Amino acid sequence: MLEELPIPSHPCARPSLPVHGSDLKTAFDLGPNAKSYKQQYANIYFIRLAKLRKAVEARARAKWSNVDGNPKYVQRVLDVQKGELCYIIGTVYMDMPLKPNVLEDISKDHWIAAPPPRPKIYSPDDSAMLEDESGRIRLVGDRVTRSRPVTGVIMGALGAETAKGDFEVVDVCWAGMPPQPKAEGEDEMDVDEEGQKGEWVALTSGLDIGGSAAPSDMRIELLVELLTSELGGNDSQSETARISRLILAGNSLTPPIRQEELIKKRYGYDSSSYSPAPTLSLAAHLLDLSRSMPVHLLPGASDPAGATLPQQALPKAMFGDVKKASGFSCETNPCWIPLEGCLMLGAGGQTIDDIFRYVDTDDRLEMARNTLLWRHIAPTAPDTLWCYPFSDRDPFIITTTPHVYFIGNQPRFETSIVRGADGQQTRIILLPRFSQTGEVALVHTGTLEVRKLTIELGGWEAVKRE
Amino acid sequence: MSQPAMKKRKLEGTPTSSQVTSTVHQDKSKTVNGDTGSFAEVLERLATQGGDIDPSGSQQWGRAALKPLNDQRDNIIFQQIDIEESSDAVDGSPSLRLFGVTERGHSVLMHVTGFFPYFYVAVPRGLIEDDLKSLMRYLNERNDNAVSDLSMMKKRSLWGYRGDEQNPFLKITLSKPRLLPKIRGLFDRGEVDFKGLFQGPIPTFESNISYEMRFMIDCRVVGMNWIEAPAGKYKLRTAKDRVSNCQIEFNIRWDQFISHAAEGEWDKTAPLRILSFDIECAGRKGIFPEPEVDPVIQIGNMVTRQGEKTPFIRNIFTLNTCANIVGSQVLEFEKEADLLTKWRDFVEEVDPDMIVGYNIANFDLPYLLDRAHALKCSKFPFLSRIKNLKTQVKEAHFSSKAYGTHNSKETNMEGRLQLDMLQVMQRDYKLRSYTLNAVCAEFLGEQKEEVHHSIITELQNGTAESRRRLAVYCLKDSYLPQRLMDKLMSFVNYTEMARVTGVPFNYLLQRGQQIKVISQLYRKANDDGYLVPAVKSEGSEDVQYEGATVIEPEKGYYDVPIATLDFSSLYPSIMMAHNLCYTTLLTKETIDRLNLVEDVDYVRTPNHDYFVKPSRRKGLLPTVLEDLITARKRAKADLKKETDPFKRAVLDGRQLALKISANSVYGFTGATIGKLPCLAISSSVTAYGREMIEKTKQEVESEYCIANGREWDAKVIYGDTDSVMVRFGCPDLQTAMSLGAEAADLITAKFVRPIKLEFEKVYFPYLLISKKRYAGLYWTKTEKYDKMDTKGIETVRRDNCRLVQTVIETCLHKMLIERDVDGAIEYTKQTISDLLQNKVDMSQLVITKALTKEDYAAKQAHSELVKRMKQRDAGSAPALGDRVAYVIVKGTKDAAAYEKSEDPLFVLENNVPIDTRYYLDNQLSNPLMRIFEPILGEKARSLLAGDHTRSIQIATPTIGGLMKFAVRTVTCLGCKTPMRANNSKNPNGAVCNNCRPRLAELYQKQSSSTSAFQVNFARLWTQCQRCQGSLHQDVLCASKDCPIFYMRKKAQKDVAEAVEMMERFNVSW
Repeated sequence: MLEELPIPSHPCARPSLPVHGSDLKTAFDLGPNAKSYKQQYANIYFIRLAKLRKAVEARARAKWSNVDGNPKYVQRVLDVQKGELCYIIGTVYMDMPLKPNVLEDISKDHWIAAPPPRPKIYSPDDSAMLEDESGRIRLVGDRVTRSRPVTGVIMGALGAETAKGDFEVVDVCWAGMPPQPKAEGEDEMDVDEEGQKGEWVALTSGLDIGGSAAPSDMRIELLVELLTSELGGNDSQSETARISRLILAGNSLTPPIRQEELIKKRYGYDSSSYSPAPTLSLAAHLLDLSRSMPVHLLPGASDPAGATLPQQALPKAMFGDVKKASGFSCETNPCWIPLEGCLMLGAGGQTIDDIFRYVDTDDRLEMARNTLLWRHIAPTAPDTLWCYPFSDRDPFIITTTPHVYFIGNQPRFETSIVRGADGQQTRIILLPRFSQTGEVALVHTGTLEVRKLTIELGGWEAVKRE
Repeated sequence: MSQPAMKKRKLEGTPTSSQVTSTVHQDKSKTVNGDTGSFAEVLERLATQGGDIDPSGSQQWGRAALKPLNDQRDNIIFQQIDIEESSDAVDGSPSLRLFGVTERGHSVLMHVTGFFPYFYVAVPRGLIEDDLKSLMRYLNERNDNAVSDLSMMKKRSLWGYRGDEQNPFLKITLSKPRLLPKIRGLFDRGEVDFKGLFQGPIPTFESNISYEMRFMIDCRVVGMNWIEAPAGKYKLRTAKDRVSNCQIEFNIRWDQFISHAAEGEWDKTAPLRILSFDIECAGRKGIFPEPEVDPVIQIGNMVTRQGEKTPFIRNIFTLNTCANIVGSQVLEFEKEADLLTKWRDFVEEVDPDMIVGYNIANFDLPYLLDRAHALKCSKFPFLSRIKNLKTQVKEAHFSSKAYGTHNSKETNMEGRLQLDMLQVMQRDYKLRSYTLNAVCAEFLGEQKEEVHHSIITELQNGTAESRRRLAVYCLKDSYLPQRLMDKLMSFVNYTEMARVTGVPFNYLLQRGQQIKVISQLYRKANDDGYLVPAVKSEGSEDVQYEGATVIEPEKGYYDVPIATLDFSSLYPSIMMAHNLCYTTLLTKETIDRLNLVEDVDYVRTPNHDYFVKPSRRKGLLPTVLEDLITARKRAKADLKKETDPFKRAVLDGRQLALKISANSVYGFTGATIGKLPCLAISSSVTAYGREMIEKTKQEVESEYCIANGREWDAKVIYGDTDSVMVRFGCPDLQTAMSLGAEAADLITAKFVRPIKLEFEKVYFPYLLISKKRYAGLYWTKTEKYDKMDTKGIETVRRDNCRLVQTVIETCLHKMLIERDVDGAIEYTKQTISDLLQNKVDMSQLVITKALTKEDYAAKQAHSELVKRMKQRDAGSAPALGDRVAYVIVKGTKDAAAYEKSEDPLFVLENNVPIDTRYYLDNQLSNPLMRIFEPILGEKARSLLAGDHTRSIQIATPTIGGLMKFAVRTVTCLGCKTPMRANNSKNPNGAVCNNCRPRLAELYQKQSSSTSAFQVNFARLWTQCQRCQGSLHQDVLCASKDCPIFYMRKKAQKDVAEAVEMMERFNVSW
């Protein structure tokens, strides 16, 4: 069922490891033929449940087969018998009063401007449903609330139907982390940190070029100089010299500012225009960077790559000369980046931002961890996270546990290691917005060690302010 | 619980055991949900809890068992809900059946015996007491012993004042109700040839009232009131004498029971069982279901006890298998006849007191009966509470001035109330659309999934899962009528109306306004010794008496406060003030005969009719009105004090019923086809009204003027039926309000009591368009306006598209609330510009009309469209009875409007150009001119022409003759130049060579508009997925009333096109 990840056999060369190709690389490509929007969203849910049910079932059996009362697996949600302990598997649907409702927005009086989107749509009145092809059943009980499910995850629930027709849940289970390819020579690596295999990869997000804040432009200059080793003392240079790759995880550009013609209103002509300056500026930086190391550019919410996930790679040609640079690659969002001995999975941040709205916690690391346990990187798509209506696959299912899982454009830098039941381990990194923090994460592909690099403007900022 | 020693135990002594268990059970489940106990504990509780009680109510269909009654000790107290005429099985003597429910929820049938119908005729000169025996013999010999009693008594005719003496009347009591018209006819036609005493046609009195109403009036029974049968006075029926399925059945003489007035403790409501249901039929493609052919496949049922929040029985009867539905019982049937029979049994066992549904009167019930007939399911048509009484459908023709004329069907179900929420809606609310979906959106604030009837058959022919899907839909539909009824308080309000006016509940929907007034009039007349003459309704012509507009409107937009002075309950108070009544009506002859003096004994109305003053005789109608108004005041006072929400609802319903009743008295006297029209009264009322409005104007303008030492000159700018609009001249609200209040008091003093002019509100600003058409911001306090008030500005007319409503409402909002006239103009121009450029959402342009008959005399847009759609695809074309949605598309130059209608979906799919000009000229233009002319005057025309109308975008159709020859050319996204090999690197790319430098910029622009389309697509389709309540199944809702129905279709197209456009960049780079 799971495709084995090909593991490179040849030793890698310094200073930069070549990116190894694999099927995962194109997992999020829509391809030239995916232009149809005739199909509906039900397909994705259908496929998701079909693909993940087995995994959840296996885990559920292992977890609950020894529970008192010998719970049985009931294959269809609707076949649950009243008062009989059993477990069921299905797709979670969260019924939330605060969920934005397009009908309400339309039926609202035309003169009332829509309220700004809420940071959270969570409320105490939320209720969870479990649904499969046959129908849905309401889940009740504290265990459900505590597990903080979101719409679209595949869940196994142990419990029984109450007299009211609800399903009282006593325990839940997820698909769990998928298998992980073993990096070659992994054992040796732990021993010797200095003679390490692998490379240092720099990750950041949210350059926000084109924004009004000038200091951030300055920061980017500094970042580029640092990475291309034109700056800094001996210490930092020696460290940065070892950075062999840069990943920009979304929001490199700010949302385009419409320059409306305000003088005279003209009917029937879209007079807004877009300034090319930010793109040119980004292109220049990319060109500088890609001369010294491979650069991966992911689109994010504010980049011109559409509003639905998976966001497609920005056209290289947009950035002028850099398109010819071999080390420069435009990635999708989300994307898989298979490096020598290290499989990376990254996203621009929308996935976690959307999950954040569902739950009454601010612990984004937990949310990221949960997506691994759910084996699904973007469960809330398509319900509240916009995505392409796939008809034959659900690319957001995590088929392989990555070694590094990074998420861009988060409020602050956070990291942790998650270990799976079968010895899988994943380094999760939440990347803050560079334009606000000046922070860059460095991760070692061999040891999964993470360091944080901060670009301080120091006195310059003050000077600038004067 | 059983204490036989207890004397005179009321029936409702102890709660039944089943109710006890259910309460306990609920408590238990509550603790489970709130508990956070350990794993094991929860398991344990689940095991014990999953006990015997099924929440779908599958085990408790019937009523709670009844303790045996002792007719010497137990009083029977029940709320009667329905009264039917009946006759004794043996001797044919008339009786009445009163159905009802006790406070404990037991069903009751009370047989009332010994009550005979009767009427009166005036005693002719020469007829004496001794003649009665022979007259009776005379009548009986010729008429089957119809007359059971003759007696003479002194009474007065209701009609006209002829002095104070009473006259002898002959009371003719009949043995059977159906004989009454026959005997009456003899008198009417002058066929009573008895000693030559009855010469010519003899007028009869109180002869045109039904037997049930006669009984209710005489026994002071009003609709839905409580009846008490005292122990010892009634006789329980033995099992073999019982005719019904009621738990308690007994006989009582008509003068032995107590009828409680609906006041104090007796305004409660028994726990009536309410069945809300819906059926689904499997139709064939393109044909509206026909009971001869198309099967009933599902019946969804919800049974609720009045006063409880949730149904205690939820089930669905399905043909063929159906997957389990959590919380509802599924009853599967292989044969349709079995389904129907079992449903009938279900109805009998559940024994609902009331049946509600949506369009059940004209669709569901007749369909079930016709279908049962077609299947030869002979056990089916017995749905009433009377055993062996066949339920049948009757065609009923209903004509009422207030509610219009329409044909409907009536299905008899003795002992059960019927409330068709569709009829309630059509009577009480003015809406654009009366589909269940539209009504739910309006009142429950939710959209409802609509499954088109062609898809119903597909789902039915699928699997148990697809039938389950249909069942869920059916269950939802079966619950909605109940929810609507609760939300709109229909049951409570109708109950109060029945109580106030004294008519049976079922009359309220089946009959018009008149019966309510008649019921009150008879009751009062009988109390006061009057007899109501039976007047043959004459002059079927609708005589239009002069309208009530008095002061011509001075059109305009007023940016100063306009105070509104209203006469409260104008017509009732005129009738009271001037003692206008049948009983006070004078003729010239009577005046002369009795030597009456004008203004001492009588008044002459502005209409030149004469009425005696209250000093001579107090009129009956004024007394009725006074009672109603006093009762309303009391109800309103109680309402203020009451805190219990349920009792508040009752009181509110009552005060509303009282208000409506008071106002309908006037209409009754003016109804020329009515039971007792008296134009002298109604015309005098309106004449007084006009006079009063005139007088108010004069008083206001002479009092509030600079000449009279005031600061400003006041001006009455408009006077309607019962209100005048005054511009006092002051610029501020505060002054306008105090002047208004002052003027109201000042002028009230100049009128006869109880006429009262009230200051209620100030409009500021105020837009006066024409007679009965105005809009204004409504203020009752200076801090904040109450609302925006509009009258007569068509926003709900159905043959308008929604765009009209949107534009007018928004313009008014901008003008009145934001006081931004320029903003309104700008908005209008923008909308017109959007319209002409095809940017308006299709659902805004859709016009709907019901297809009511196959062939319209004149060709109409919707019927013509249906013909064309049938040619394209007979299956998906609307069938008779469907509502047809259409838009007007561009046609050839001389095409008639009906040729230019087109199916909105077809338009979307094929890019058919919309005739935006039509929408501008025929839909928007007039309403817009109306609201803008008062403000802009001549300049208003500029809204419809000018810059904003010059840019026009017409869709390129993908079908049609010419398009076969047309070649689509790709144009540059930058400068719109057609792309050719000589001006661009790649003719299929995004830009021409000139625009190449702008490629990145144009890419961003395209990307941002594509994003907007993508979000649109995603939002709309996920919403539908949510609304249908299933993630794993495709959306198949076809609700054309849903605002996003067309939008989501368009979103599909838009996003696909936008994405394709993006692809062109890939080629260019």
